[in-house]
Amino acid sequence: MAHPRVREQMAAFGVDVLVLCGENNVAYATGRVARSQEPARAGATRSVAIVTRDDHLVFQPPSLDLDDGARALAAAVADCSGVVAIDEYPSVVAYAALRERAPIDAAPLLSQAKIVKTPDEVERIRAAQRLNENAIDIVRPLATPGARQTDLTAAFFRAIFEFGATGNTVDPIWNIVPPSIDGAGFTLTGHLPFPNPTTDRVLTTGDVMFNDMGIDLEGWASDFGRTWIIEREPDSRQRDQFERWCATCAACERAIRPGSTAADVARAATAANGGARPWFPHLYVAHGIGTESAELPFCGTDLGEEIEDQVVLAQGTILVLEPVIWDDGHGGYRAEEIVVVTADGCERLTDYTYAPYEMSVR
Amino acid sequence: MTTDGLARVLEAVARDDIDVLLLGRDGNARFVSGAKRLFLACERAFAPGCVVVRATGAVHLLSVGDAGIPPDIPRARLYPITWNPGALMGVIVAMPGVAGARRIGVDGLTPLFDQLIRAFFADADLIDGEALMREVRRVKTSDEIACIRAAVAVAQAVMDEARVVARSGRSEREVAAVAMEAMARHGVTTAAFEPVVVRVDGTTAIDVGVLRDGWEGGLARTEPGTAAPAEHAAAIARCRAGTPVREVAPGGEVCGVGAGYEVLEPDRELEPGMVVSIATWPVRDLVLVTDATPEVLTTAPYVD
Repeated sequence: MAHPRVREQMAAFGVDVLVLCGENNVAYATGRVARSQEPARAGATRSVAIVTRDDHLVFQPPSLDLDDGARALAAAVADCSGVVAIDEYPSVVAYAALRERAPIDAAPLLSQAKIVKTPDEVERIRAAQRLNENAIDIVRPLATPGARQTDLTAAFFRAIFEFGATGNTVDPIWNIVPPSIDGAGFTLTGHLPFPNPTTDRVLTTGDVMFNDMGIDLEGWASDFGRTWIIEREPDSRQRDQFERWCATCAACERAIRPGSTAADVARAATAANGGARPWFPHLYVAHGIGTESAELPFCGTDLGEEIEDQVVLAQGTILVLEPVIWDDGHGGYRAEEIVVVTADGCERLTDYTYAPYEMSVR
Repeated sequence: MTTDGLARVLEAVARDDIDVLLLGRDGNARFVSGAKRLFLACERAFAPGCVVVRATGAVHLLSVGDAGIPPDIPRARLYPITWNPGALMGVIVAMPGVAGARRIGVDGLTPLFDQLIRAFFADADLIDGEALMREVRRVKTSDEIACIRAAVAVAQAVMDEARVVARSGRSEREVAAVAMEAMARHGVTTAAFEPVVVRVDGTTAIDVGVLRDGWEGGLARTEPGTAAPAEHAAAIARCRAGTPVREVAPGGEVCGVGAGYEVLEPDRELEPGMVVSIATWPVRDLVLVTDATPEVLTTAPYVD
């Protein structure tokens, strides 16, 4: 049987047949986890799930870019009667093959299911995060002058696979940030470019690095982020940035409880930062996580407060908080903190040091 | 990555009378633009992250900054991330030469973008843009083959290190870990797929694939080395112009390789300049189809 929350939402949305072509959705609904591969290979070798109210089928069709694959998909759907919903069309031929069934959009149904994680799923995400953090323990001492960004990636890869990660999901980010946006490189938003692709750039003393990495453990994602300073203790200004980050994070955590909205989290962050939004304008201050490293709900996007006020948190919702404190001319601080909504507040899943910054606010 | 990918796509777009090509697949975007954006593993649902406009010959890219974007793509042709798909379509329609498009190529779709494209482009026809991209990408230029050779060199260096670890008797997981580490030490932080390591009766089969500057290289070998099965050599020998894909390796797996994995139609006849991956357990090679004898790009010996 497919995930009970998926079946529950199928009933609520009046969907009889749920066609899932996205590998993260297949993993969520059925537990079938794909290997970590570049997107084209992943797409060409994907498994598809067809979920009905009391059964489900997972199969690997021939390439869905070609008629044979599209026909196989349509034939499998033809065996199931009723209202069809689909998450994505792998190709125009797959779209054409399913057109007569007039599928509706499965996205609302899926996000409604995923917004609450079961206790078991919370533990799976916690375990994925712990594995990620254990790998970072091995990498952190290597972030010294003379090391290349790619050396850190090499050590991270070695560690995560030795520790049993199912896959690496994002090219690890070791983003060295300059003190000023001016000279950091062009952006459409006028804010800092982040993330920049990893290169063989060599680290030097005093570099401030925003890092960010995601791994997959048996289908469940993790998301690690901290700021490091290469071989130097933070100065008083940098410690102040960190304390403001802690205060912002704490304000978000106080706003997070069952019944609060995505917009509440963004408003709390902005209020704690003296009225200025403490996050990259092209991103958000918080995002959900599950079988994808960033999924709904999002807090603080350009969708605006009116829409984000309709997104209500519940016990079991997981958010990754990622405020950014930026003092242009003096750099900034960014880190990520995963929290799960409890009966009356929230609890952290991330459990990692802020070294070399001090722990002053909790 | 420098190729004339855009020029070839524009030719095909003109031939097929497509006004606008909306590309969601990162390999397609890399091919037309040469851009290196943040690599994410896994298949993603369609969203137009790259737009090719026939009327202007321009490629527009979804990217907040210009890091990793080739200098020949002006900043005015970058467009920002938005979480509002309707706003994204609004940005695209405002690009020069896009409004009023009647034939729109897409390389994927979602129910939401299906609705939005129909709302923003009344009566437009949706065309299979992936079929177009597949055709343009199938035959490689000499520059592209050079990129694939460079990726193969990294994959072979990774294989050498993985085999040393396998020889020492360490676990499959440790062999994969060392292979990934070696890839990054060779400057490549993106895998085409993560190493597949299978030990059977004391022989370890290792399959690696890397994406170096967006181009794929890879191979499978064993430790200790084993001669390639006779049917593997036969499959390679059949990699000649005119052989239909379905006849190349009846007992193995065949796919195209270039800016990542490429789907090959079973009835497609091989042409000079195609690069195909031939896998016959437990070995895999990349083979360049030429005017004469096929060239095996993966030169690592099966047995040392």
